[in-house]
Amino acid sequence: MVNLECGPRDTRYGWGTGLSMGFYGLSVAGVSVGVNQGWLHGWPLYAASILPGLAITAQLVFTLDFFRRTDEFLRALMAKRFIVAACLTFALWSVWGFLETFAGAQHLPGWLAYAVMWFFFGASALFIKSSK
Amino acid sequence: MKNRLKLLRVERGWTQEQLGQALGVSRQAIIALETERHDPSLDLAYRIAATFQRPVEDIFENPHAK
Repeated sequence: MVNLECGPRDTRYGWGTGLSMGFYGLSVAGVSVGVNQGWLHGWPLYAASILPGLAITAQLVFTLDFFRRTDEFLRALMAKRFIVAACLTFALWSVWGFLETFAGAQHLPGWLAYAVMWFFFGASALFIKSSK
Repeated sequence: MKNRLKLLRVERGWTQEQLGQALGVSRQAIIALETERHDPSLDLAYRIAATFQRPVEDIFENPHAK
């Protein structure tokens, strides 16, 4: 039997996602400000660069925890939306990467991929409502 | 998968929330089952059958039956 609080408004998952997104945003903003103002360099910069990665890893933990506690329909639906969002992000980055390498397109920072993935995840929720 | 879940639930006067609680799944899962947006696992299909005290075939149409 599953915990019935594990619907789309699951508190633990919601808080975990909010916290990891907030931590990701703050860490990216913090590193950017630190580098631009010149007080973040050397090994502290390398250490600070790990922070956005830790935020995404925390999100992975919260997502897997949600998958473990929720029912089969929501698990399948979320998995489908994550797969679609991740593949669309890979596709966009691959196309842009080729344009950047061979066509002189402006550089697209890799750390933006996480935010773009969440955009695609949100957009996929408008269209993906079936587990099939 | 075509099913009689909504009919059986309404016959008993249960809400989707109540059926979800009886089965240990979310209301969203009940809605998805009733609108055929989710095919249940064998485990869930048997749980549904046990809840309504009917054979699985009475609730879910066998898509492979000839």
